[in-house]
Amino acid sequence: MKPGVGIFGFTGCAGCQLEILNLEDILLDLPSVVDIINFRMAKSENLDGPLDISFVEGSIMKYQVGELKKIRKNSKILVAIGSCACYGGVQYLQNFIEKPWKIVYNDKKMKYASPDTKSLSSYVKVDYSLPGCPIDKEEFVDFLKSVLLGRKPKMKSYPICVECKLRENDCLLEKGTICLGPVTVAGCNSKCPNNNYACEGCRGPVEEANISSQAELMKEKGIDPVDLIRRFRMFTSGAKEFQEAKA
Amino acid sequence: MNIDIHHVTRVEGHGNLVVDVKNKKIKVEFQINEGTRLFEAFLRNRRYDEVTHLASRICAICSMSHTMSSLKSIENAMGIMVSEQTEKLRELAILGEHIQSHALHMYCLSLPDYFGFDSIISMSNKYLDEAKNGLMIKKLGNEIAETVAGRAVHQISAVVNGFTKIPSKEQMNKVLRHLKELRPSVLKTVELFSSLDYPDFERKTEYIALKKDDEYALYDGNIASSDGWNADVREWEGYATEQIVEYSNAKQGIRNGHGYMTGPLARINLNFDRLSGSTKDTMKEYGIRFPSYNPFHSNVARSIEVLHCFDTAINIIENNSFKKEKNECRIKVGDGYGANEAPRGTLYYHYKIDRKGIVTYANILTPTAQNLRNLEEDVNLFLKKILDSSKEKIIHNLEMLVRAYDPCISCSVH
Repeated sequence: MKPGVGIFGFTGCAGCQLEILNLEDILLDLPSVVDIINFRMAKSENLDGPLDISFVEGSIMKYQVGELKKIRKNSKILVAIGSCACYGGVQYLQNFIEKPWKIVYNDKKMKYASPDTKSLSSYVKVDYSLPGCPIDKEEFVDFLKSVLLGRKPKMKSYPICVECKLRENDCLLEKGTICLGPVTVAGCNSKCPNNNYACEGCRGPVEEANISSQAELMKEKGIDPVDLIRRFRMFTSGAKEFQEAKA
Repeated sequence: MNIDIHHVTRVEGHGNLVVDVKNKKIKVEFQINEGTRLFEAFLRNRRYDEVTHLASRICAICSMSHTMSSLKSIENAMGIMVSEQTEKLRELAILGEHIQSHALHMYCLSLPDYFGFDSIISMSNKYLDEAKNGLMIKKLGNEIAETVAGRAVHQISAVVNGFTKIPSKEQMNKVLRHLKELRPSVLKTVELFSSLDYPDFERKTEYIALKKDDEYALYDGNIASSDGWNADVREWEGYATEQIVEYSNAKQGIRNGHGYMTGPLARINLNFDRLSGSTKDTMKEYGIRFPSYNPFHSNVARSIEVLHCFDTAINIIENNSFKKEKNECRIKVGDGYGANEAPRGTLYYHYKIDRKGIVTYANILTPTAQNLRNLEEDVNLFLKKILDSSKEKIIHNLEMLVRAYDPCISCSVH
């Protein structure tokens, strides 16, 4: 029997679900290897479960916790896809601002109001995480292949710098820009530096990243500490390692 | 009768359509329960060169439009005039986005309704050619965006006053070759979507889109209305307001107490005479006429726009060469306004920037938020027309009407 797969979205831009739909060359072949049981963004007949693998995108507001727990209960393997699901994503930036609700909704009481937003693992057990803003669709396919073949998916344990050096890009850090390549987990094939744009850390911290020494190094190079902290607070500000970067 | 379509499928994001009919009085609420995102709060106190990558995360499908409107608003505030090359590349990137987003909507989200399937995947068992056509067009839209701006979803290289990397001639020629190879599939798309059996429903509303004298406005233009007015983008907040409604996390666009429509149907209704010559010829050939007041005809409009985008993209690549340019800029205090046509309609940004280059205020009007009131007004009138049908049929028809707007719910709750 083919494994049953669910693809779910919570709070976010739907970019990780879109990256799955962006697999145009293989999308129509997916049903030959998996049963897509639930994918509300792309199909209208959906079942709650049972699910062998669930891919869940987005950060979680309080009123969404029940729905997330139901997915967890129905799933053998639950995978957090994208930095919203893994770390709270850009929505987590609300936590660093005073009264953000007042700025946008003028403090009005709303039916679905919820002032906080968190990663999946704040509420349920997450078996695997595929970070990135958005996910890297090749990495998604590799992951799916591993699971289908019954192998344990291997998560990357080295930083973006490794991928960037393999491509022989000019080092942006050496040029004095704030590049988070040394402390960010690999998996995107250094897409931003390949475009001559410094890594913004959208995939979150690499294992054993030494954030404070990296921050010190950049400050020595004359980078404004305030700018540095802002850089650590883009897409994965919910990662506690990135919150360690202090002025 | 109560109808509660919980989490409408085959749209981007989370929304429930709730309808209550009592003594022939109809109450419609499109309850957007997508989690609140508060971009207008956290974009404050960020540097001018950080906000665009954050803003693009409002929406994946139309991230390119958010990138462009955000950049234009910053440049407007700081008094930066971008080069002609930058404008051409940005225009090309926007064309790519329209191709991608329209193909996604037409083939993956909408067409299964007309062919009687629940998704493009199940539809492909019987209509494989159509499904493949749609996906190949969508893929090429993504290829254009990726070639010009580094990535299809959440762009990388488009920055204030230019690009950090310029595509090579080889890359551009490859895109050009693909555009020419795939153009016959786009003609088939126009033929297909202009011949579908759309529900018979009309409601004239106010249509709003960017307008230019000499071309079909997508990247730039004034804001214009079917009511006859035309205004500079910076005056937009004086013409329309956003209303907070308790049942929805998305605000609703209102003008003079009523909804208005922005998006492909509004654009074609206002600007069809500015489409490319070959696009107009194709419309004539298939007997397609605009204006139309049937919201379901948005699909016909999308198919025509894809053809226009193909021809315009071919024209841009054939008539320009692109080289490395400087993109430095000087920080200046100011109020800046930027708008472009996103696939779902007019997108508008307003930033205030202080002397250190920090954004102190951000206001963003997204197309879907602007369309929500108009959508509810359409649902109200359409329901009266189909009230004698079975509940099951009513629900299906209302879902199709919601999909006709191609709502982008993430955008609407930015």
